[in-house]
Amino acid sequence: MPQLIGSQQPRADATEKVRGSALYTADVRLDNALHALVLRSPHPMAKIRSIDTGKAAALPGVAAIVYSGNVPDKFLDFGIKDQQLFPTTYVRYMGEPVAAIAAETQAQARAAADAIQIVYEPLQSVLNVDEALADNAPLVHPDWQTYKKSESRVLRGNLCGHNHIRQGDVDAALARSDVVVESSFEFSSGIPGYIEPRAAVARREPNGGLTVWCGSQNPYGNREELADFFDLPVENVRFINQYVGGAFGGKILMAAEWYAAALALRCDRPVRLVWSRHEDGLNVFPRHGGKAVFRSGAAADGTLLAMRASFVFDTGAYIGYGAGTALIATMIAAAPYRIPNTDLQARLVYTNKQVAGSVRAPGGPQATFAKEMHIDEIAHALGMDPLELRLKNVWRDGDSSPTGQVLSSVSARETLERAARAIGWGKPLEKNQGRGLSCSWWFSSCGRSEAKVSVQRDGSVDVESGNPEVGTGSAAGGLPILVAQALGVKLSDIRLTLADTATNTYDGGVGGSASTFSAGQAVEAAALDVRRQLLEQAEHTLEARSEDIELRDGRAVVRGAPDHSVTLGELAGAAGGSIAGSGQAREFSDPEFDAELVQSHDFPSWMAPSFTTTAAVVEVDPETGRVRVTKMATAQDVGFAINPTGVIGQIEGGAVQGLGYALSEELEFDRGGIVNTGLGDYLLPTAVDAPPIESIVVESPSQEGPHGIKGVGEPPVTTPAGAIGNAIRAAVGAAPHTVPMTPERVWRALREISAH
Amino acid sequence: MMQPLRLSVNGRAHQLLVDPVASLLSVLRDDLQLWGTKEGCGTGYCGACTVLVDGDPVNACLLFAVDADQREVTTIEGLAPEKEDLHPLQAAFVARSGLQCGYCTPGVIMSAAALLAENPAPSSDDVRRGLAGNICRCTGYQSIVESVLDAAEQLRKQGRAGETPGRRGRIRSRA
Amino acid sequence: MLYFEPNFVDEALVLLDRFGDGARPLAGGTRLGFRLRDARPDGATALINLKRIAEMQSVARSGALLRIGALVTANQLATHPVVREHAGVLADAARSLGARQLRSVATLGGNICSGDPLSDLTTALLACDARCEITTLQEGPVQVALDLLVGKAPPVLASGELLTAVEIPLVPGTRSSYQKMSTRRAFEFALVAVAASARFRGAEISEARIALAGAGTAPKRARAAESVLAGKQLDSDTITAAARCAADSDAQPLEDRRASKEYRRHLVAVLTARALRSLAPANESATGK
Repeated sequence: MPQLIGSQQPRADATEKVRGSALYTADVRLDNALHALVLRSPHPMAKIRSIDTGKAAALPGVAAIVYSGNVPDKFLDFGIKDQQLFPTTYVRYMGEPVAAIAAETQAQARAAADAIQIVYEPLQSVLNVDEALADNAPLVHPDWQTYKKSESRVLRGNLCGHNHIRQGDVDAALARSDVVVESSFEFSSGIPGYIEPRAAVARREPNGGLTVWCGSQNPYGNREELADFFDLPVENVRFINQYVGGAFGGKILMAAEWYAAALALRCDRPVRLVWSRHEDGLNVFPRHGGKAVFRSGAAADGTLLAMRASFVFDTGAYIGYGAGTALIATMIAAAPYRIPNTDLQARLVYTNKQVAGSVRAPGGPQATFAKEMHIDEIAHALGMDPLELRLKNVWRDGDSSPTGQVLSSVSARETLERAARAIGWGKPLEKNQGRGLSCSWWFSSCGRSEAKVSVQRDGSVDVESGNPEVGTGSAAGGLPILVAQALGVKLSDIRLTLADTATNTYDGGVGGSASTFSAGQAVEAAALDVRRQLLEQAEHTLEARSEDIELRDGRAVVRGAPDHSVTLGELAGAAGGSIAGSGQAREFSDPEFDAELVQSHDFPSWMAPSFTTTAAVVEVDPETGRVRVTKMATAQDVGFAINPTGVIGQIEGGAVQGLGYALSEELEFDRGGIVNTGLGDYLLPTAVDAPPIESIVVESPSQEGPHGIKGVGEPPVTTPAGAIGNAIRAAVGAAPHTVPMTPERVWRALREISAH
Repeated sequence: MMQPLRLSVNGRAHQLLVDPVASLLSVLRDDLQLWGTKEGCGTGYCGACTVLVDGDPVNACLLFAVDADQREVTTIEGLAPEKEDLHPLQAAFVARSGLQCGYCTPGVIMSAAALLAENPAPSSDDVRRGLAGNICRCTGYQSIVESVLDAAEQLRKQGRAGETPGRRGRIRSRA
Repeated sequence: MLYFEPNFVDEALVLLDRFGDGARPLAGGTRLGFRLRDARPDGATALINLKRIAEMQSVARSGALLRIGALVTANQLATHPVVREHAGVLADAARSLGARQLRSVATLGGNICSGDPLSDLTTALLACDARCEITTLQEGPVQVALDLLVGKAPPVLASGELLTAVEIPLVPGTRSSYQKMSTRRAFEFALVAVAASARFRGAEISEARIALAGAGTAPKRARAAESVLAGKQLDSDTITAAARCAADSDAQPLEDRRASKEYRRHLVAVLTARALRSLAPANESATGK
């Protein structure tokens, strides 16, 4: 039987999706559903003097209105308890939900929204990190001193995160450096860019609980949070995840689910909330914008001696999942290079803007863009080839990271060499063409995950996992491969049930490059449990020892006696109708690190780290500043590719998301409210913008991961911007230090150098 | 004031009463329960709602439903001819993994069907230009382009180069 | 709101006259749809779907005139052999409009009447010396230079007026070019676009028309640049001078989130030069992207 693990296989959900029969949340139609609408704050910062829903509630067709006055006033816990479901005292960003309405028709819901009387007292707002950090800046959270938080978190006025990594003596090392280079960078904010706007349908059940249909990255976690908030027994809350039309970190925090559920609890009909692109944009959890300053020193021979890096990130009005960005940025700033003296810090700041979230690789594109552009500037100052400088300083097995983590399975060098070779590094180019590199690292995660596998009388295999399929294929692609391999069945024999909490197979959700690590482990363990039981049953049925029995092609076969076999279905029948097994992911502790080297850092060591290099070739039109990326190659260490199709898909998709980040994607704000909520003025790359992409799958196995895997989903979006920026500079002598590097910014960067 | 609408969708004739300002997308999804055509942006900027009207690719979110009167509309559900399980485009997208989350996929496939009807032997640049109106966030387009080129080759091999995609209906087209 | 599908121009005119400011003529509907589907009423009393009017849907050449019905779609303009051959700049501009799906639906008349300040079609037509046929119930068809129509403040048409066709004079030996610059490489409104069209007498330009988008509140002619070119040969000095003129004298670009006025002005110079270079003999009509 051919080896399935490691081979390219079609996805289990592909046929449904190409037929148009795959259902997403907006396709869920329950009879009699009410329409929901969210009412939003018109002010970036204001005190709420009063809310009166009386008039609105009396309007025709209005079934329910929820707002701070009739939902629990609990604070949500994201490490700092700074956010309620609906604000009671202050609104803190333009567009912040302040109430939600359920009515018979959209028009009636809108009329009710217009009739809700809220008296606001507008206050001064802060709309960027400089304003937020200024002395005597207006406070986004005037009551911050009353907030509960976990001990490691920093909270002081508008500062809601500050972590520091320090090793050696940076000033002394800079003083003895032959070259010292300083660079500053700015990062715009951006959206995850899922094509499916968020939606949720919720229905109150007779036992007072809830059923929620949605497209979440994290249905089990959401379910627990929702149950806890509304004081419902968890077992009475059911999340039924539909197919998800892209997530990219933007569908981890609940949004539509909250409002649909809150309304449904007060209605005896289901409540359907389907956002338009515009509505979704008003409530999106964007990628953090911010700034960074780097200052590094090197010896004349190219040895990196010291680096000081300082980031400030704009996390918007509430902390949400924003903390990770600042933590990850400091972990990336000096990596993957041996720099014995480092001083790396990142601050997270509140502003009166949209809550920034955990968009695919939070902090990754920002920090990688900055540090890789900076590294090239050091190479330039030394007169050294940028590849050579990197190879000279790149980590090797046994090196320690700036937090004292000892590194193994370090494949950075291999990714650098293979990516550079793939774009013809060193070969001559035409005028205005250039090549650039960017190398970085990322972590793997493993969360709690449970799975069930059972073989039925008809030979079909049911697989239940809590891991949702949000597009990446880790579930619909990877999980069936693991089961089919373990049981010797065809992929088409497998029926996959994902992310319906009624199966009680907890999963920590998609995010943090964790899915295959977690759900893959659980599913494989469950499949191996079933395998063991099948073999036990086969011993009886075939009167042979299990060591002599193979499972292949849906049968148990005695080795060497191909006629002496029985189908898995028959084995299930003999066992009473089905053979079922369960499994769970083993959790891992993070690697050791040196606590002396870090301050207020919740993420100081990275499990099963992976390495990625993107190499880009660009052609710049120096008159207009427009950049054409003619080729990209990304070499990514995936540890081991269980599902190569999925891996390559992640690399290719990440490359183009990175391209968008690099060249065209930018959120525009007006008084803190997002202006470009539509896809006509938020510029995602089209098929014409995207170059051919070469994916180089590097396999340097991890110790922890099943089959040696490392996390795959996030790394490929971190490296393209730095590669493109470096390629631009190589092509025309200058590159912007702000992403996106729009044509105008490139043009201005060129004008600056010709002015000197 | 509701307006009578007679159209053929995927080869089946329908007679409906619609609001004259309703989009074709809302009629397909809400009145005909054809949910394969998706709303990604509602403003004609993402192409997820692409359907064919008399073979022409259009954004169903923009087109007024009344403008489909007496015309043949083809959605993803009707792409494959009656006797075929999957159209070569659909089969190619499965085989080549030209999709991930799948939300843009029906629109991409319908656009590609129109492209191949006009240009049965496109280059990869032709495919990219032809699909410029379909935004995909998951795949990076590479596997999409490969899938379309594979399908083009299949169609040519089957002697179906340039065929008008979708099932023919009973309503004569307006032209 | 009532709904009508007139079959002839005359019927449409009667309806437009009857409903006045409440009339909403429907062409492609790519913008009208949003206004009408929004929950907030906008005073519309009659939706008048023009697309059964066959006489507004043809492209016809008669002698030295190309007549294009107002309901001809961008896709038809981009692909029609007569348009491609005789008004290449219009075909190129149409091909650069939006994406294929949008081009199936967007119409010439709808595009002009929307008053879009960055309209590819309007810009190209200004370089074509286009005249618009505007018809009313009272007066019948009247020819109006497109320059006059787009030069005034919106709305482009007054109540009761119908744009029925656009006419372009065809002069043999005319060469034209459309250059469009935007941030991404497809499917975006121009930051700046330049349409150029020139007739030659031997090696000299007998008449040049240059139109700019993104250089003001509406597409406009670059008359100072045109005067630099009249009677001259298209060499690198004249091109540079004309481009500078277009940027410094003709352009009054806006500053907005997409681009600064300084950059737009610079793009006017660059794209004008590129458009003119591609008009030089031995170059085909070219679209820059």
